[in-house]
Formats: sequence, C-alpha cells, structure tokens
Amino acid sequence: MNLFKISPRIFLTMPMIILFVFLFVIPLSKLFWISLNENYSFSAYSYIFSQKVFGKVFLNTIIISIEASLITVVVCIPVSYFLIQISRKKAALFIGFLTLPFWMSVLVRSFSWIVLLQHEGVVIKLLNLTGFSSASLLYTRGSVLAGMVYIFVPYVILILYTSFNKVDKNLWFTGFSLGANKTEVFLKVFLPQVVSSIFLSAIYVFIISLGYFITPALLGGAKETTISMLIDIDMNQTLNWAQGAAISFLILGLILPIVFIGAILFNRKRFISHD
Amino acid sequence: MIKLIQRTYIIAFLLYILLPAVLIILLSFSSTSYLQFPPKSFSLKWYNTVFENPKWINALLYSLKVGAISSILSTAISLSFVHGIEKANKFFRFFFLSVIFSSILTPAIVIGISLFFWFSTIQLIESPISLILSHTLISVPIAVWILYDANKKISYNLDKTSLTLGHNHFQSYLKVRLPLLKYSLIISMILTFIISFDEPVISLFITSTTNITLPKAMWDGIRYEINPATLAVSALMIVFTTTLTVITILTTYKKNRDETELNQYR
Repeated sequence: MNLFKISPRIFLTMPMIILFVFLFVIPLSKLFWISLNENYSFSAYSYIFSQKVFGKVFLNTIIISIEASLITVVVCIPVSYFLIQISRKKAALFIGFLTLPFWMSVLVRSFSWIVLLQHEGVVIKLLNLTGFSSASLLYTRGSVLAGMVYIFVPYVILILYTSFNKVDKNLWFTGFSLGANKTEVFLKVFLPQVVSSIFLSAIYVFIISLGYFITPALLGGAKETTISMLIDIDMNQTLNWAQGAAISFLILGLILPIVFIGAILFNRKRFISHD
Repeated sequence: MIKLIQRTYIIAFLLYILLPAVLIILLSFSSTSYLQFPPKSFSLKWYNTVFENPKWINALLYSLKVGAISSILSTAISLSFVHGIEKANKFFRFFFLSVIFSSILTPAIVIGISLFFWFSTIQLIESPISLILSHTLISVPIAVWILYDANKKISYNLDKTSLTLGHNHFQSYLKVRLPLLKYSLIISMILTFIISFDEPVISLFITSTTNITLPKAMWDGIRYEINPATLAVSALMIVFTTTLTVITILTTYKKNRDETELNQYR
C-alpha cells in the first residue's frame, strides 16, 4: 500500500485527533510550560534534585512498585496455569468471577482494605484469635501493597491467561514422548513461550503503580509517601504549582523509557496486523 | 497431593478476590456507629442517612449524567475513529493506536492536573463539560480496543455482498456492518460508563464548587471521616457495577455466539 495514498476515510479520525490534541497534547504542553515557571527556568527541577527528601520518595515509590509487580505476578502465575488446565466453561466462569472486582471502583476496593485492616477489623480479630497481637495494620508498607496487589490481580490474570492459552497443548505430549518429565517440559517448553508476557505484565503493573494515587494515599501513611502524593500536596496544600508540574514530568520521564524498552523487547503486533 | 495444594490455592484466591466486597455489603447493614466486626445487629440505618442526605443524591445524579454523556461521546468518537483507520496503512494505524494507548500509561493524576490547568486557562473549569470531556479522554482507549477488535472480525465480503445486491455504501453500512457491531457498541457504552462513573482521580482536580461526583464525595467521606454512610454508598456502588458487569458478560456471550455464526461466511 502506498504511504501517500490517503482515502477520505481518514477524516473519520478527526474527532479523535481533536480530542487528543485539545485534551492530551496541549494540556501536557501547558503543564510542561508551568513546570518551567512559564519562563524557561529550570528552578523547580533543580530544587527537586537538590533536596534529599524527593530522592527518598522517588526511591520509595520505585521500590513499592517493584514489590507490587513482583507479588502480583507471582500470585497470578499459578492461577493462570490452573485456568488453562480446566475446561473452558469452568475457566470462563472463573474469569467471570474475577472480572466482577475488576470493574469495581478503585476507591471502593481500597476502602474495603481499610475496613479489613483497621483496628476493629476482621484481620486483627483473626490474628488475636490465633494468638498474635498487632495494634494496627493500616498505614504501613504492607497495607499499601495488599491494596495495590488486590487491584492489579485481575489485569494480570487476564493477560497471563490469554497468553498461556495460546501455547499449543500438543507440545506437552511431544515433550513427554521425547523423554522429558513434567517439570522439564514446563521449564523448557512451556515457560520460554510465555516468559515475554510474564515480563510484560510485570512491566505493566510497575508502570501503573509508579503513578498510582488513590490506593497509596488511602492505605499508606505519611511514612509511605509516593510521588503521586507529592503532586497532590503541591497542588492542594502548598499550591506550589511549578513543583507539582515538574514532579509530573519526572514521573513521565521514568515511565517513558520503560514503555519504549517494553515495546521494543516484546514487539507484539496484536493491534497492527490485520491477519 | 499436588492437586490438593492447587485446589486450596485457587479457593483461597477466589476468597481473596471476592471477600472484601462481600464484607463491605455485610457491614453496611450494621446498626452501630463504628465499623465493628462482627456487627452486633443489622439495620437499614445507614442507607436511610444516605438517601436523606441531598449531598449523596446530588453526587449520584451528577455522576450518572456525566457518565451517560461521556460514554455516548467516547463510543461515538471511537467508532468513527475505528472506521477511519481500518483501511489505513500500517504506519498510520500503528501511530494512532500507540498515541491512544499511551494515554492509558500516563498516570491519572498527571492527566488530572494537566487538564485542571488547561481548563482553568480556557475558563471551562466550572462547567460540567470539562469533566465530561476528561472522562471521554480516559475512556476512549477501552472503547477503541473493543470496537477495533470487533470490527476487524467482520469480513469485508459481507459489505461487498450487500453492495452487489444494490445497497449504496451508506445503506450497506447501516444495514450490514452496524447491526453486527451492535453488541460491541453496547459493551463499549457500559464499560466506558463504568470508567466515568468510578473515576476517582481526575474528579478530584476538575470539580466545580456546586457539583461533585460520587467518587469525589466518597473520597471526602473516606479521607476526612470514616463513617458507615460511606460504607452504604460503597455497597450500593458494588451492587451497581456488579450488575453492569454481569450485563456486559452476558452481552459478550451473545456477541461471541454471533461471531462464531459469522465465521461460516468468512
């Protein structure tokens, strides 16, 4: 097909282009301009880099994100693996149950963890019954991770299940007939085919958690400050708008290279190919 | 033995997924004023306080309105877009789709504050239009994803057949392609509605002084005072989105059945 042959169909994309230019490109450019104090000054950025506290928060956010993505993926692999072994109907039912919380409000889901973990809550009561005693589970690293993993689990299961399902089941029998046992087939035949989607889902969770706001803000205390909470403080409390804008661009600066690496490493042409 | 471990793990996992929601619904019927577990007695007290408080009702109505308009808008824009790129060359398709999907990876809070500054500049911040447009922006990727996939599965042979049978392009679109996209359009409208209805972050920054959305009202309720009224609202939201999700799942079954039928004519 010729690159320069443009059919009139392309004009149907106009509403979308207008939407994105006016609500995505221009606002982000405006935000960048604000981060420069509307004056080509990099003082907001240099202030952030000069203060240790920002570095600490960035590091904390990155660590939380890594932990969240690792835990989510490790929890989800066995479930997805189980799903491809049972019949399709059962798997569909299971996934149906799974998608119920998937579409529930993030706010409600985070709130449910507040209810679970608070000092009169179920988890503490159960811990007391078994002999452990803990004053509060809320506003700790653990509570932030519990809430975040809970929110990301459905995404990851859906990604992993789709890719696990694509692996040809006959390969197992091929492996067995060539003398390998179950573990060997799993490690040498199955895993190499799905490892890229495992990485992909981990990267996806990592990126989303870097800028996640609601869950850390509700379940983490002042000790577990993340980058997005700094933006909120700048916007709503200190009204230091240039700084809030600059922090936003630092998050984007963190996310962008990871997206590029992800896209290049696992160039999946799902949306591009027309069969 | 391995089977047993597997079973236990899966059951534990399902409980982990479903229990928090069940717990919220259970506790929302509690009659005590603090979040006590297990609840001592049950009552509809907190539902009464919710329905008697105009703050919650107004927020609910506002959210429903914004959600309905933005879901129609984003589905319409996405449908038009999908038809715009379906025959474009690879380069264009890749470019457009990656720009659209890059908006998913941009943190909501960044989108929120960028839109806040932009709408303040053009003095639209007080109007519901700003919120509707913001919600349209964030729900467009999912609509494109659903409609692009569905549209790809409908063979051009069907359009060609209807053209040979004497329809013009417009008629053929209205009578052949659009009816086949029916279920996907319904799914897309429901899901984009849920996205807008549940959206908590952007609404924090783009709110007028007179109107707030339900998630924003809940956010204030959770952050500044945890009271069981918030619990009742959460329970209602869970029931509402679950109903919508079940409708979506049923529609997906119908859509899949249609698609298998269609595959005979590929």
